[in-house]
Amino acid sequence: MALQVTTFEPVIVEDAVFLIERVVRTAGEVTARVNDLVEPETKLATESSEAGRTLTLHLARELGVAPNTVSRYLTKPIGSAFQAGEAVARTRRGLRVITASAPSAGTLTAVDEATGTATLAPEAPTRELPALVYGQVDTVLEGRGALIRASGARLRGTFAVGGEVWGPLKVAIDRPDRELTPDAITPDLSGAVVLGGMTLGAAAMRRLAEVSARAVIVGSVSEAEVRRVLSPSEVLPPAGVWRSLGRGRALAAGSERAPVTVFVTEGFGRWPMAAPIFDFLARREGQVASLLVPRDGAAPEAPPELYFTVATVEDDASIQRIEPADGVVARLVDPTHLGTVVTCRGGVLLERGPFGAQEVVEVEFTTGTRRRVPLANLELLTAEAQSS
Amino acid sequence: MTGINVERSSDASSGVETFPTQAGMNGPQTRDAVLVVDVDGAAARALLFDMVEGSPRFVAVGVSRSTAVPPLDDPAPGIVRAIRDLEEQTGRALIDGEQLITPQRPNGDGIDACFVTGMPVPPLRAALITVGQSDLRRELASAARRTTTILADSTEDLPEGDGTVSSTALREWLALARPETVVLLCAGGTPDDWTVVLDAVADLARDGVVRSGIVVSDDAHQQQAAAALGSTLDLSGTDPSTVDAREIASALESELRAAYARRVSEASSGRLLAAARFVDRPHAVQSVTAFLNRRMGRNVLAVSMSEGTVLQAALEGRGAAVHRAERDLGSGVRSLLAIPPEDVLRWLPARTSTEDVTQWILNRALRPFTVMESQADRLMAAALQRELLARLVREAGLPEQPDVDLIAAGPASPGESLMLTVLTLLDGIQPTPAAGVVSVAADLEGMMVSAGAIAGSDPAYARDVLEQDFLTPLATCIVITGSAPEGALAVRGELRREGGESTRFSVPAGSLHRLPLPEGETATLILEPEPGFAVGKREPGEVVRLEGEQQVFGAELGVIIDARGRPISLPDDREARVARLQSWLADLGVPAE
Repeated sequence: MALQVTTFEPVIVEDAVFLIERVVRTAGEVTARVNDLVEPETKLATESSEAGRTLTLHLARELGVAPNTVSRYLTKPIGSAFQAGEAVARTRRGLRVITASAPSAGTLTAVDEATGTATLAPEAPTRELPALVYGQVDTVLEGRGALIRASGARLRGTFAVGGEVWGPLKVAIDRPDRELTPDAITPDLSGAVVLGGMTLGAAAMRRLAEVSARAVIVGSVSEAEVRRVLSPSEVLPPAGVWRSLGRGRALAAGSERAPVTVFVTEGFGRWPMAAPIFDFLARREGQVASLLVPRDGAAPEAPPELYFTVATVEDDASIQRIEPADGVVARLVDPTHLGTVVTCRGGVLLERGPFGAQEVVEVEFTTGTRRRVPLANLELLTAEAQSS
Repeated sequence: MTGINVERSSDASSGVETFPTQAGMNGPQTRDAVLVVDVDGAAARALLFDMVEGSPRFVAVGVSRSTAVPPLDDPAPGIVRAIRDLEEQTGRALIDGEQLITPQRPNGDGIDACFVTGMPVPPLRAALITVGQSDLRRELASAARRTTTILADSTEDLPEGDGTVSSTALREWLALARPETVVLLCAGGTPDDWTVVLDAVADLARDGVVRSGIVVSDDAHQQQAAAALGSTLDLSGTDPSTVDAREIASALESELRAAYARRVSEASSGRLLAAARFVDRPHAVQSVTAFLNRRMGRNVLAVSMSEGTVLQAALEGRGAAVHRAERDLGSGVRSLLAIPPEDVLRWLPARTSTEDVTQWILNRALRPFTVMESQADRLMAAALQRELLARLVREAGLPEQPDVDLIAAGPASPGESLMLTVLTLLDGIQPTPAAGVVSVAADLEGMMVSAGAIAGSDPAYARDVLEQDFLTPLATCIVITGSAPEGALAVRGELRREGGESTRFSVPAGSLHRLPLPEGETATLILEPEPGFAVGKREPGEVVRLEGEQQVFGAELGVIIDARGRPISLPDDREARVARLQSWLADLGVPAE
C-alpha cells in the first residue's frame, strides 16, 4: 500500500470559521436572507411535512371485526387527535386485547363502514427551523434552509439521542471519569446544556428532564439505559431500537421520545470522557453550546456536533487539517481501547504484514509506554501539540 | 404494466456488465496483463495478473482504504491509490494521467484488460411483501439474496399474528426498510390484504422512496396494483400460474443483478475504468466455487467476508448461494443486532454479558473500519461470525453440518489470527464430510473474487490463476463424529510423515488436537476411533488409513483432529461453557484473552 498523506479535521477545532448547514426535512419556506445576522433562536425556515396527506387505517382487518361494526370499537370519536402509536380502535379476542394504532400523530377524520377503514389526517405541524448558532447567513438553500457562517469552536461527538438544542453550558461534575447521578442534578440546570462527565443512567436522564435541562454531554452511555428511557413502559430488545435494516441512517435514535438530548463523545458502555474534551468543555462554562444532531436519513457516519459560536463573524479562519505528528494528542477508538488518550510520537509509517500493508503511528500512553497502532484506530483530538 | 422478462438475458444472468466504453473501444479481452479492481466500502484492492513462463500468474496486490463511503462517496480516489500502490510494488506504470495504460507496452507497463468487482456503490434495497402463503416466496427471497441487494422480507420480519396483514406494522416495516424496489407476491389472503399492501406501498411511493415494483400475481391482482401504483412506480408483473416458479425467481435475480450493474455503470463517471468490465461479487464467487467443484471433484463451500458476506457452495454438483450485502463486521455490523445476543454470548470464552455484545456491535458501528488489535475484539468478532455463518448455511438451503470437504475463505484482514479463523469456520459451518477430511484454505490476497471476475470472459486464464496461486492451505481437519462423556477417549492414531518421523496421539471426546505438518509435506494418517465414534460419516469404530492418494497434506496450521462431535454442543452452564471454549482455544494455541 502506498503511503497516503491524509489530513484530518481534529475532534476539537478552535478559533475557526464554519459553514453550518441548517435545512428542513421536507420542502419549506425559507425566511433567511443572505448576510442576515442570526442568533440561535432566529427562524430560518418553516416546514409542514404532512400537509394535505391522509392515511387509510384498515381497522376492521386489524381488529378482525366486521367492517360495518368498526365505529363501536373506536377509542375516541371522529375528530379526535391521536398521538403516534396511540390506539385508535380496540377490541378483545379471548384473553388478548387487539389494538389498531395510529401510525403517526393526526386527527381521525372519517370512518367508512362499507370497507371497515378510517381516515387519519396526519398532524401538519409547522416546524420552525432555528439557526441554533450565532453567525451570518452565507447562502440560502431555496426551499430547504441556509448555510450559516459562524466563528468559534466545534466538538465532534460520536452519537446523540434526542433533538437539536442550544443553551448555556453548565458543569455538573468535576471530573471526566465520574458518573452524573440524579442527586447531582439541581434545579439551577434548567435550560442548560450540562457537562456530565463519564456517563449517566436512565434515572439521571429523567431527572434532567424534570429540571428542564436541555441536554447533557457525557463520555459514554449504556445502550440499555437509553432503551429504558426511550420506552419506559416496555423493554424493547436492542435490535428494536438500534437496528435498521441496512445502511444510510445515522445512529441517532428516538429523538421525539428522548426526554433530554444526550450527546456522547466516546461511545457505548462506561468510558470516561477523554480528558482534553472535558477540559475543552469545562473552560467554556457559561458560553452558549449549540448541539446539532444528524437527522434521520443522514449518512451513518454523520456525527453530532457541538458548537460554541460568537456574534462576531471572522472573515476567514479555515479549519486547520492536521496529520499525525510528534506531540499531536489523539485517542484510540477500537472497541477495546475506546477513548484511551495518547500522544503521537511521529508521523504515519507503512508497515507491511502477512496480510498486506497498513498505516501505523507510534503513540505514547499516559503511562509512558509506546507502541505502534493502526492509523485506522486513531482519532486526532486537537491541533495543539504536546512536546515529548 | 410490462411483463417481467423471464428469459434471462445473457449479460444479466452472468452478472457481467460493461462500463460505458469510450468511442471506438470494445469491452475488454483478456490477453497478457489483467488488472482486477475489487472495491467496496471497506477497501480498494487492485490485483495484477500477468504471463509468467507462458502461464497467467498473480503478480501483486495493491490496497487502499476505500473512498466509496462518506465523506468522499466516490470509489475512484481509493482505486487510484490502490493502483499506485501496485505500481510502487511492481515498478510498472499502469496509469497515465486519468487513464489506464492499455494495451500493455513492450516494457511491461500497462495492462490488456481490466475488470471491476465488489460493491463499488451501495447495494440495492428491496422489499418482498407476500400476501398469503407460497413456496414461491422462498424462491424469490433466495433469488434476491444471490444479488447485491439488501432484501427485507415481510414474512421473516413481521409477526405472523392471525395471518392477516397489519397495516400499521407493514407501514412501520416499510419505513425502516426504505426499499427502492418492492416485490409484491399475491398468493392468497383476502382482497383486503392486497389493498392494505397496495395502500402502504403507495404511501411510500409518494415519498419518492420506492421507485419500481414487480408484481407476482394473477392478472386481476396485477391490474389492481397497476391502478394503485402505476402512476408512481415503474411496474412489471408476471402470473405464477402461467410461469414456472424457478423461472420467475431467475428472472427476478436477473433484473436485480442488471439493476445493480446499471447503478455501477451510472456511478462510474470518470475515465479511469471506462473500458473495465463489471462482475458482481456473488457471481464471481459462484464461478470460482463451481470451478473448484468441477476441477477437484470436491464439495466446496466458499465464504467471502468483506463489505457484506457471500456464502457459496457446490456440493455434489448442486449449487447454493446467499449474499447478505448488509451483514458484515464493517459498515453493516449493525445488522448483526438481528442475531440474539445470547446466541453470540455462548461463543465467548469470557464472563461477559449480552449488553456487552450489543455495545460492542454499536461501538463498531460508530467506527466500522478500525483494526481489531486486541484479542478481546477478535474473539467477539469470531463469535459474531460463527452465528452469521450458521445462519447463512441455513439461508443457503444447506443441511446443518453440511458434507463439505473444502472450505475457502477470504480475504484476510490486518490483525487476523489464522487459527481463530479456522476455528470460526469449523464452528460456524460445522462441516461433516462423509470421508471425515475437510481442508480449510485461505484466500489471503482476495483472489477468489478476482479470478471469478476474469472467468466470465476468459475461463482458461482464470483457471490457470486459480490452479497456481489461489488458495493457501490453512489446515487439514479430521472430523470425528459420535459422543461420549467428556474426557472419554474418542480417537487415537498416528501421523507418519514422509521423512519417517511418526507421532502417536489420542484425542478425548469434546476436544481438539493439533498436529504440526508444514505446507508442502504429506503424511499418512491412521485413525482408530473408539466404539461409538466414527471418522466423518463412516462406520463407528472403523479404522481409517489415509495413505497413498488419500494422504493428508500439510498446511500452515497443520492437521487438526476435531473430536467435538456433530452438532458441536456447548454446556448450558456459563462457567462450564467458558471453560470448554477456553480449552478449545488452548488446544489450538489461541489466546483466550
